[in-house]
Amino acid sequence: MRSRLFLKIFASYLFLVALVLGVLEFVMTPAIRETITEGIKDKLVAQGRLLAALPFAEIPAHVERAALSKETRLTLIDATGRVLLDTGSREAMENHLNRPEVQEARLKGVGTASRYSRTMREDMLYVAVTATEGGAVRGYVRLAKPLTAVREAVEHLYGSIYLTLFVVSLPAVLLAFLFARNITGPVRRLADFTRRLRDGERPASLMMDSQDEFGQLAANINAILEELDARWQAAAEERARLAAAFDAMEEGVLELDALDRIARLNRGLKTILKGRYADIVGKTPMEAFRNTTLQDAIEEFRRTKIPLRREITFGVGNGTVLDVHITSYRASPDSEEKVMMVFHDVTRLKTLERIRADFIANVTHELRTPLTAVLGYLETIRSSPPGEVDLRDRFLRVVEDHARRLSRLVDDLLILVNLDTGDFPIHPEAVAVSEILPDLLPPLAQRAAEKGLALENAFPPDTPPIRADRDRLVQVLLNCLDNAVKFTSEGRITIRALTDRREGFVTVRIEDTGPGIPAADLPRLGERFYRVDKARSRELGGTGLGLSIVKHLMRVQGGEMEIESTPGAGTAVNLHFPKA
Amino acid sequence: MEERRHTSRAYERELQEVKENLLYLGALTEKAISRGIQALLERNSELAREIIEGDGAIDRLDREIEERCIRLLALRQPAARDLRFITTAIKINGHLERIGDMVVKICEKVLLLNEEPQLKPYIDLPRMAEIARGMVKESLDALVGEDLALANKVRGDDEIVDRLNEQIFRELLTFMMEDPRTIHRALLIMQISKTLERISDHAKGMADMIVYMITGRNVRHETADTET
Repeated sequence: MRSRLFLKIFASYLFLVALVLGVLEFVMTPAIRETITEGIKDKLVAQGRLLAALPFAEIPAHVERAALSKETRLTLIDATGRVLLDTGSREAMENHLNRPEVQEARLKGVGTASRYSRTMREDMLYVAVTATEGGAVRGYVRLAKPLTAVREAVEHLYGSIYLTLFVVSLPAVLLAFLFARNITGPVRRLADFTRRLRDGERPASLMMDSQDEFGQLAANINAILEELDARWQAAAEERARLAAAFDAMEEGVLELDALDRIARLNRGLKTILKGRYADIVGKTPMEAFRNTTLQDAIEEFRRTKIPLRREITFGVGNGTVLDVHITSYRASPDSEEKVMMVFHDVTRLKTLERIRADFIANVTHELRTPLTAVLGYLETIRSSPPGEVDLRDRFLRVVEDHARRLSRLVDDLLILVNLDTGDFPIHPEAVAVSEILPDLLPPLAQRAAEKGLALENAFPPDTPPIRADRDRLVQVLLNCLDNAVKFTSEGRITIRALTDRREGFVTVRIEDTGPGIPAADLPRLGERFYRVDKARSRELGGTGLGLSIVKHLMRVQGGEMEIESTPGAGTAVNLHFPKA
Repeated sequence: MEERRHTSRAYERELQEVKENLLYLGALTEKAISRGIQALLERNSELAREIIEGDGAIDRLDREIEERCIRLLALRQPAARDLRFITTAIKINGHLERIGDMVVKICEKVLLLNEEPQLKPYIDLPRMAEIARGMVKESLDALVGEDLALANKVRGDDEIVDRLNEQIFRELLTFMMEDPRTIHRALLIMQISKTLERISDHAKGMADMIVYMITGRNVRHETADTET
């Protein structure tokens, strides 16, 4: 199918050709007809005059010799209008005086008329010439010729004209075709090119060989495309950079659309939400989170338009605590305002805050209990009778016990404070644990034996050395073994080595057959003053800081403490040290 | 034409507002249940009192939602889906409000229980409370996501809560027979258990309505396992 443009151009050419034909037909034809008719008439008038110049009575005799053409009809009419002779008809004819050509001839000498002849049954051209003799009208010579000749002549002429036109219009149409194709070709290429652009393709530049307007147009389009490419590239870079930042940031970002539905969120938010809220895009915040605090905050922001900050909790109980900042932005001054929320996970911060608050409360409590006892006993001693030496000694021993506990507590706290501030010198070296144990174990073994426990050294002497600070290592081992002895009432305590627990680490494992620790308490064991069995721990003289110190000391030495326990069966403390 | 489009947009917004309000009420109720359970398990009288005071907000929102629904019905004459949604909203609204009242009842019992030493460590009660809370949460999730499967799951969970309730009854009965001094506390715990069971009934009622909203089929008073 040819293009519409091609059809339009081609059709207008055809129309032009047809118009030329029409003009020729309707303007030229009457002129041509007249000229031919005029020629015939002149000829007839001349012949008529010749005949009329003869003496009237002799005219019939000269008719034969007048060399009239076959179609020419001669009528001789006398002055009264009686037809004397007619070459066209032998019948008697009516009076012809009232014929227009005769009337005209009577007045002017020559008359012409063109009309349908009932006698000849044809359109005829009549010419009448007055024949005079000595100034008196004797009659009229009328010559008539059928107009068929004129028609034939015109038709003949038409034939030539049509032929010419046909011959001329053939190349004209061909030219029209070529021209139309010449124009529609580039236009079609342009259309194709722009359509591909619209469809998102980026074709190579538009090629036009012509130097005319189409060539300029193509050059302009190419220039625009290059400019667009550059801008697109810049925009894409900018977008990629923003997207990377958007996704890389730890904070969660959530954007609402104009209908207050969630338009997009970043990876940070997905991490924060931990997959708890699936498919939230397209939902309203209420549908997505069903959190009244968040909803109240959003509504407040909408009312006041002042960016605000709120703390919200997602999930049940001690769920994720989020600090949410609500603000809005406009892409341009006319565009809709979009609400944007930035979420910051402060769960850890909150936990730390709680631990610190607990710590201070605990320290106060831990310090006050022995102090109260010390003060109480001292008062009793002072008010007791001087003779009661035994009682005083016993009380003094209690005071001393409590004072020692206070001292231990302060020592432990000092260690923790130093660990916290980083003001704690560590001198790592290669240490063979099996060489330390013989000095370390006897006092503990003795205490274990007093409780009826066995302390077994199952540490193989050929265990590879570890990298640790010798003094801190001793402290860690002492703390753990002391705990084991303290909390185990029957059975045994075993110290062994594991080399396959962790790649690149040697594990010193201290097992006991004590009461074990409930699974729920395991993660909190390293917390300061956290005690599984509060009453019992204090009774045994613990400060509640031992494991916390072990955990920290392990960490500063590049190792880690890990506790496994089965309630009712026993506990194992794994101390992972890096290999030397 | 412009006028009509405007009207329909306003109508859409009104429907969405009803939904948002309903979810807000749901969130309040959910929170009340969670905190009620916390007050019960931690023997926290202060928290219990706070929840009892907070019920006023639930009641106010309940009335507001009901008024909005009735106005929508009267002025917009909704049909088909919208009509089902509004009927469902009215019903769920009622259920949520009742659940709020029940949490208040539980908290009142908690206050009484806290005046006496703890009878025994709770084992089934927290499980039951957790399931009941989960049912309320999941029926609201089903409402948001138009999740037929989830709604049917909630309808099935009611069964579990019923059984736990019976178990708690039997256990407390033995306590009371062994030691008459425990009767007062045991009765309070029984009432709490019963109230939790009623909460789960309401959650099931909400799930029934959600099934109706999605499918147009009324499944109330059918058991969940007759579902295909």
